[in-house]
Parts: sequence; structure tokens; C-alpha cells
Amino acid sequence: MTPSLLTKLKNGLSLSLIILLVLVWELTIQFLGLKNPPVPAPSQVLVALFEARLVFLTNLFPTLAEAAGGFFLGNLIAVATAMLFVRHRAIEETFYPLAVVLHSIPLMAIIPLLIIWFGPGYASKVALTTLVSFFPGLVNTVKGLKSVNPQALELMEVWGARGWTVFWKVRLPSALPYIFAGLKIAAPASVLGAVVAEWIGSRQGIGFLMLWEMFNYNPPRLWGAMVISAGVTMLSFWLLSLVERLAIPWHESVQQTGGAPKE
Amino acid sequence: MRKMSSRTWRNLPGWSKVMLSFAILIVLWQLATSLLQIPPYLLPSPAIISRTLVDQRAILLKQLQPTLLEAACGFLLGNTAAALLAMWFVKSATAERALLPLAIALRSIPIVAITPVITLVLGRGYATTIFIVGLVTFFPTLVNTTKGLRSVSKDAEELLSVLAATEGQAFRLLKIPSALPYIFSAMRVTGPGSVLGALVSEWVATDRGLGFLILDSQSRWQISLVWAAIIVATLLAVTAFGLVGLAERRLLSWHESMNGEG
Repeated sequence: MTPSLLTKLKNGLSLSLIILLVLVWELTIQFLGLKNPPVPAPSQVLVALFEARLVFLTNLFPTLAEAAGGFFLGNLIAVATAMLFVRHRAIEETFYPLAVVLHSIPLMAIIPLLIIWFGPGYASKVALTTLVSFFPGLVNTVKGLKSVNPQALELMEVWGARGWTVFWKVRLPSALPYIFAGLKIAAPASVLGAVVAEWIGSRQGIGFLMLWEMFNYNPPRLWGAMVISAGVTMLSFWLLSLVERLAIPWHESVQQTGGAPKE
Repeated sequence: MRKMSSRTWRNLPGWSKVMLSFAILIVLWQLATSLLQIPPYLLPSPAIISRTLVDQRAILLKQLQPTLLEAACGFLLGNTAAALLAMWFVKSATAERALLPLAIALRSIPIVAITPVITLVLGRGYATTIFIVGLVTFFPTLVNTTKGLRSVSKDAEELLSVLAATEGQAFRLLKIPSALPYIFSAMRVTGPGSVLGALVSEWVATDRGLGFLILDSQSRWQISLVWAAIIVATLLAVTAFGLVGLAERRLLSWHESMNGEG
């Protein structure tokens, strides 16, 4: 059997199992005939998603903006910091251990502090998603910028290349697989961070909507909001894998499994 | 002189660098708050926070217990369930083919974010928070344990079958030991992750625990208590990470990852 056929078979088995599970779920809820159970039938969730599509859309936008804003800002700062670290070892040796210590703070626990500093609007959420994206970005970029082939560096030196040329031609390309590994951790984490931050003192967003529907006891809409947040997370991961494949088609992590490089 | 001092700095062991830069941070923080007269609600000084840690230790300890219970129970349940399922995967290729892609798909759900849904189903209380922590631990352990149980060397497997080892013996002597490094690398993530899961799910699902204390003292504007609770929570997460590392060093002293870089 060719590998592609084997994977097809694997996917087929899993897919049919998922369809079966959803069917059993649907039939069980219909059969029990409960009025508005906490676990709604899949069809009820779909109906709620369609009927309340405007509510979902208006609340999706803030969450997307918070997650994307922090994702870009956090990774931008992380790459800049990593470049500084790699160029100046003294700075790295002073601040890198500190970054590792700060990373061990359960970041989402500081949401209440961020709200005191930045207010209950967009700023506090973006601050959280920036922090959540910053640390994986920093760790992976530093690792990547250091993973340069020393012979390539020597060759550049022999050719008399300057610092920035070396950076653009050698260091950055060899760091890209690592940077993408960091981005793939940061993207789902920023969606999660945005949703959770919206639980506290927020009036909009998917996270706010989830709490609202929980307190008003509207299970189909609550499950719909969950489906949307899961969908956004998966979509962000998938988009990054696509960009990765376009950006570094030469790298083995893309050619073999499409996954991140091993640690 | 400068070169000299930078060399001494470089020769210091890793942990002392962390302690030193941490100490510098605290001194700067204290100086900044007192010199710039930053109001304590914006940024309490380390002195105020440490006083709060001492004065409010009764509350902090009381609220530490539920969080600790949730994190520990969820961690154990999630890991046990994941390990059992992974062992089933290794025995039955059909089960793996059917369920592993499903598990990988479910893993990308932002788990802590579904706390409101679980609260609706399981009600407010320990059941929900433990379930969330269990889910947080379940998926990484499942994926890594399956990978680890499969990473057995072919030669060792052949040797065991030549020696007529039973299936149980093969598991105990070969498969589990070779899976352990993979399991531990999952636990290094899920150990601190279960503390975070407990904290955040407490916001929605309970009115006790460190997570609740953080939120409650913020709404009462007791900012130094917010800081103290966050520090206790961080210490808990760091302890979880440290315990996993300790267990790893004890159980994996034979493994190359322990001898390689030191």
C-alpha cells in the first residue's frame, strides 16, 4: 500500500467515526426528548449558529482583533528582542534568564492586573495576547538564530559580508522554521487569551458571549460560541501552516510532515 | 576590568544568574515605586507585597487548598486516562487510526475557554474545574505517550520475543521505560498548565481557590492581595514544573537526555 492511500484510509476511518458519533449524539438527544438540555443536539447548535449569525459575527470581530493584534505585536517584539540578544551576548545573558522566570508566571492569571492598568477595553486584551505570543516567539527565535550552520557563517566572512547581509542571507532563513514553530504555538494561545480575557469586565467578544449565554441558560448559543472559538483556533493554525509551506518550501519539516521542527 | 567582570558573570552557574537578575529587578522595582511615587494601586512595591504575603497568609493558604486539589486531581485523572488510552492504541492499530486523529483535532480546541460549556453540563464546583484540568493534561500526554510507546527499538523488541517475554513483561521492561522521556516532556507542559487551568476555570465555575481570590480582591480594589495571590499561584506552577523535573531526574538517570548537556 502506498503511504498516501494509507493516510486516506486513516482519515476515512476517523471521519466516519466522527460522523457516527455526531449521529448517535443527535439521535440520543432527540430520543430523550428533553426540553432545552445543557447538551443540545448538533442540529440545535447549527440552527442557533444560523439564527443568531449577526450576534456571533459582531462578537467575533473584537475577539479576532484582540488575538491578531497581540499576535503580531508580541511576535514583532519577540523577533526584535531575539535579534538584539544574538548580536549582544551580554544583554542576552542578563535578560534571557529573567525572560524565562517571567514566562513561568501563569500569564492569564494577571488579566485582572492588566485591566487595572489598561482598562476593560481592547488595550488590556491586546496586552495579554502580546505577552502570550511574546515568550514562545522569543524562545524559538533565539534558538533559531543560533542554529546557523557555522560553515555558512565562515563562508560569509570569507566573502566579506557585513552584519546585515549575514543576517538576511544566512541567519534569518535558517531561523524561519523555528520562528514558525513559535508562531504555531502563539496563534492558538492568543485566541485562547483573548476569549478568557473577555470573561472579565468585557461587554463584547466571543468570551463575553459565552458567559452571557451561560448565565442566561441558552445552551445552543453557548455551544455555538464554543464551536466558533474552536474554529478560529484551528483556522489560525491551518493558515500558519499554509504560510509556512509557502515561506520555507525547502525545509524538511514542511516536506515530511508539515509539522514543527523537533526540539 | 570590564572584560574581567563579564567573564566572572559568564562563569556563574545558570541558577545564580537567574537569582541575580531577579534580585536586580526587585531592587529596581522597589526604587522605582518609592522614588517615582507610583501609587500602590498601579504598582505596589515589593515591600508592600511581601507584607501582604505575611499578613494575609491565612487567606492565601485557605484559598491555595482548593486550587491545589483541583490541579492535582485533574492532573492525575488526565494523565491516567491518557496513558490507558495510549496503551490501547499501541495494542490496537484500528483504535489508533480511528481515535488519534480525533484526539489531535480536539486538542486544538482552546480548552480553558470551554469552561462555561462544562459549567453548564457539570454544574458549578469541583467537578467542572477538575474536568477542565483533566482535559488540559489529557491531550499532550495522549499524543506523547503514544509516540513514546512506539519509539521502542526494534532490536530490543526482537530480543524480548526471542526470550519469550509475556506482553506484560514487554510493557514493563521495554515499552514503558522507552516512553518515559516522551511522557515527561508532556508533563513539563501540563504540570504548570494544570495550575493555570485550575486558576482560570475557577473564575467561571467556583467561588473558591486562588483564581477566585485574584478576581475577588481585584473587585474589592485590594491590589496588593491580587499580587500576593498571583505570586502564590506562580510558586505553585513553578513547584509543579520542579517536581516533574525532579521525578524525571530520578527515573531517567539512565537516559541520554539527562547525561548529554548536564
